[in-house]
Amino acid sequence: MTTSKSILFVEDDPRDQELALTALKSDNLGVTVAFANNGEEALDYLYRRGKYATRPEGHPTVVILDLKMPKVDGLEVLGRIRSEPSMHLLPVVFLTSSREEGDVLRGYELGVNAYVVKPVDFREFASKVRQLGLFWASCNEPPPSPVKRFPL
Amino acid sequence: MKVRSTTFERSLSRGAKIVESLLRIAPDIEDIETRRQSRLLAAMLIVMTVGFGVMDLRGVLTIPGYAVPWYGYVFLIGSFLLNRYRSYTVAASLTVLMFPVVIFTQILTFPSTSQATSLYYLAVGFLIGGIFLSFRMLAVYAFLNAVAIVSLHFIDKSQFPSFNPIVGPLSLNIIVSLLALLTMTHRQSVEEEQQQELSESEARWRTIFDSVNEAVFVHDLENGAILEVNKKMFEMYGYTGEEAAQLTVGDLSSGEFPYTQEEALHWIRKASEGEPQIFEWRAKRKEGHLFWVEVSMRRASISGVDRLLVTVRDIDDRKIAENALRKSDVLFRRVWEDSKDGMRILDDSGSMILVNETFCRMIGKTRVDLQGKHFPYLYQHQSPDEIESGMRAYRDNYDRRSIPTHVEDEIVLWDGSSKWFEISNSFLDIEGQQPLVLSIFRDTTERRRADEQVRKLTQAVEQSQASVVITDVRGNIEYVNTKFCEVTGYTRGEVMGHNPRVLKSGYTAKEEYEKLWQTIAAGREWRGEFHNKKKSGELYWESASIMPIKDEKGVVTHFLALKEDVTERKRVEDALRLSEERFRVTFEQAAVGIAHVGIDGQFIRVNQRLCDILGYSRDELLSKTFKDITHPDHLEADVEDAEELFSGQVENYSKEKRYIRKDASPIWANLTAALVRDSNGQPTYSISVIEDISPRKRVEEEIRRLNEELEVRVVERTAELQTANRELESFSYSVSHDLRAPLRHISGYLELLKDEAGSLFDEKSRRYLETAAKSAVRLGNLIDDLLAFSRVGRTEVKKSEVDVRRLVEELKIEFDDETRGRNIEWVIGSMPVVEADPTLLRQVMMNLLSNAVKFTRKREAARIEVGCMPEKEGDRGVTVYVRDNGAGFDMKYAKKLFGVFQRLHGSDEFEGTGIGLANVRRIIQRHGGRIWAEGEVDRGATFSFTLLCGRRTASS
Repeated sequence: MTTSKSILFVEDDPRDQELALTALKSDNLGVTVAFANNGEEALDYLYRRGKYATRPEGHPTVVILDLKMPKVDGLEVLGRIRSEPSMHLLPVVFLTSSREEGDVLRGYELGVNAYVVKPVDFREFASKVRQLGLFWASCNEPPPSPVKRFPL
Repeated sequence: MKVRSTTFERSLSRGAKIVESLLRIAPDIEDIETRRQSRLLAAMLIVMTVGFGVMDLRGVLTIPGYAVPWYGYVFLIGSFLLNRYRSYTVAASLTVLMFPVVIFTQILTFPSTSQATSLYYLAVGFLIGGIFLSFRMLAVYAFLNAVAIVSLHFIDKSQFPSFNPIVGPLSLNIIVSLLALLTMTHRQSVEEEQQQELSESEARWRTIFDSVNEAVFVHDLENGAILEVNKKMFEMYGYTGEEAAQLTVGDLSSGEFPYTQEEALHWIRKASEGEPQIFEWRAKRKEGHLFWVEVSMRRASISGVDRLLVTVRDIDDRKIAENALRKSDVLFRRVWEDSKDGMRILDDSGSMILVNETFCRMIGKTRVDLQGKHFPYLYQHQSPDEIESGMRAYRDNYDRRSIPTHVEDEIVLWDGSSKWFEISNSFLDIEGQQPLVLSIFRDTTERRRADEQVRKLTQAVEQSQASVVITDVRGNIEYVNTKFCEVTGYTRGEVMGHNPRVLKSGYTAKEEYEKLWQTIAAGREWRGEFHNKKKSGELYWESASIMPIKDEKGVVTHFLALKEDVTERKRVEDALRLSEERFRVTFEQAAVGIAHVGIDGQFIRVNQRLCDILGYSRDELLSKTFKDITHPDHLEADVEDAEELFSGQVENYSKEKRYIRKDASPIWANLTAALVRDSNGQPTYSISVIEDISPRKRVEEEIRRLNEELEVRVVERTAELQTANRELESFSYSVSHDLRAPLRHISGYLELLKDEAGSLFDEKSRRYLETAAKSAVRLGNLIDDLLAFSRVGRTEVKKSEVDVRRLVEELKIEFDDETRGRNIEWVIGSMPVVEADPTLLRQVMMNLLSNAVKFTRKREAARIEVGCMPEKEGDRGVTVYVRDNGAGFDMKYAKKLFGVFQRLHGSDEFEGTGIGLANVRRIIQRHGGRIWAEGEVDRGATFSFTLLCGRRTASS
């Protein structure tokens, strides 16, 4: 468990990753941002396997997920998180281009904590990403760590 | 003891019978003295025969040469028989004669016969003669004897040496003769003396005897012989004295049973036994006339002799009177009892002393019930007061001898029925008695009823709706009723006595009249029709029935005509015939099958067309029920329908069904069945119209088949469409996701560029950057709109009730930021609750309002009006409009307004993607409404659309 706040940003598009990072950095929120390029990587990260096997133990403060990704999409990642007892309470936010009703509905059904549509306008986009980071990293009280509560 | 005594008595009576039969005497002897003499003679003859028999038997046995004097026995037996069967007098004479005959024969045969013997014989002979003969006869006899003896002496004296007839027998005979003469003479004088006395008393007696006004007979007690009669008897019976002496009681009787001789002797015997008899007898006069007598018989001693004294009284007159009385009594009884009228006799107190049988029957009570009761007994239903006053009235009337002679009265009988009587009262005066009152009751109930009946019948005939005419046998009218006058227009007076031919119009054939007269003259009824003429000249039809009226002997006395004006009926009949013809033609010529179906389902009538449709002949169909020819698939439902119809639950029904033709092929038909009720409203039959719809059915079948094909095609197409939709959906998804990412990147990187290297660019370059960034954003909007538009086409419309006014109010607030500082007058009218998808309607209103806000941007005083108007009266539709006074548009482009990417303004003038109104139209169309726009350049625009109102009323 890290004391610093961290965000796992799952985004297959490197341009979006960049733009998002730019937006988050510009505010200097003091959060670390980890990027996963797709769902598989996101799961690897969360389970600390593959290339993330060596990463320090602990879950991010919030997972920001894109919906449409190659290999494992955002909804699937969310489903896996919610079905995993060690991280089922992990806050997950969808940040996606889709404002399709079906996607929104499905996201909430699976227990997403927020659903944010990426605006086309960068200023708006940057603003929203910053707000997200700010909110989840500082405003929101994260769920208690399961490890703390249930020492093995 | 008893047996012995009986045997003794029997033998005694047998002995008595033998004696009786031996001592029988001749039946015609009526004098009792003579009968006794005759019996004595018979006894003596028996004793003498036996005595002589014994002596002669001894003589024969003891004396040789003893000659039996057989002639003596001839005399004895002859005398006995004579006495028994013929005459006592002759028998007695013969017996006495026997002695001289015997002695003379003895003397002649045996000259030695002693004088003593001859004297002995003569003495016995005289002795017996003294007993049985009269003195006169004895004297004659003795004289003859003396003559015989003298003559014998003179025959031959020598022959009779020892016999001196002079001394002995002659002197005896002379002595006897003299003695007899002397005695006779003496007796005669005594008798004469007695006779004298007797005749005096007898004369007196005879006078009485003859003056009695009754015939008197004196009969012998023993044989009933008539010994004496009186004069009255001659008078009564018409016989003379001589004749009367020969009469027997039979001669004096009618001879008809029981008035016969035998019966008469029976009466005589009874009376002879000492019991006086009185009886009536039917007597006969000499000439044969019969008459009634009363006979009184009693035993009486007459001159010391017991006789039967019979007095006979002529009661013929009395008898006739009696018979007449009896006859009149019988007659009266017959009349009284057999009378058809009830009769009652009341005495002065009003008591019914005599009633006849008919009266009893009328009243329903027995004679015992009625006789002796007071007449108010008949009025048992009256109150005691009424009865009392009735009695008083009777007594008053009786005293005044003024009882009403004729009264009609009703009597309520005991069985509750009541009868009407006509009562005739009269006084019966009987000499020396209180007068009686005879009431004769005649039951007039029937007559009254009959009168009533006649009155009713008369009324009926008078009021009859048929014309009634009665004529005499010559055809002259004697009676017509009111209806006749009504129909013909003649008054009674005009036709009375005339012949009904006054009604002749000349249109009825002459033959018809001849036939009529032939029929009724033969005593039969004639029926027919006349085409007659009224008084007014108007012709009319009459149906007539003419019949003879006969009297009880069967003789025709009148003719009766019952006639009915049938002009109207004829007209109706013609109309009916015409109507029936029309019906028949309609029925037969109809292009549809028509059948009348009975309640049992049987065909009653069918037309040719139906036969053609079903392929049966008419007769075949009429022998079937509709069930027989109904397709099994419809049978159950059909029977139910028919039951509903025939039970009157429905008046008619129409259905399509299949029948089975005779060739077993099914045929589709449209059946319309309608119920026909009789005048009482009872279902009687149905009219079924059967239309061959097989061609239509074939077309329908074709359509159905095509529809099915179509549906298959639709399913296929739908599947294709769904596939396409799905593809489109994933396309849209991709677009929404993948198309926006680059735009965002363009925008993002342009921004980053501006941030990083903004200071390096001049004004112009920075404007290029700005424009590029704006274009990216615009393209993003465009994509969003297109996606929304596409989504509207795909998403389901979920209708609920939406309050339009509230919606507008909410949306208006959203424009607050955008329109800050502008002068916009919002006019929001009252609007209904409509049925719509809330999200989609929100889009619609948002779009229209934003357009209005947008296009009024250049107005100093903008006005945006939202309202509605009802679509049509009674319709649920409503038209909602959004009106502004903005830029407006040219109506010639009105249609283009709703096309995708169609814009009427440059984006530099008014920004927009050109999708909004297209989207609006699509939403409205998906709600089943329509949308249109009206406008004028610079004068504003009005967008109107229709929707269905909701059930709920709008919020105010």
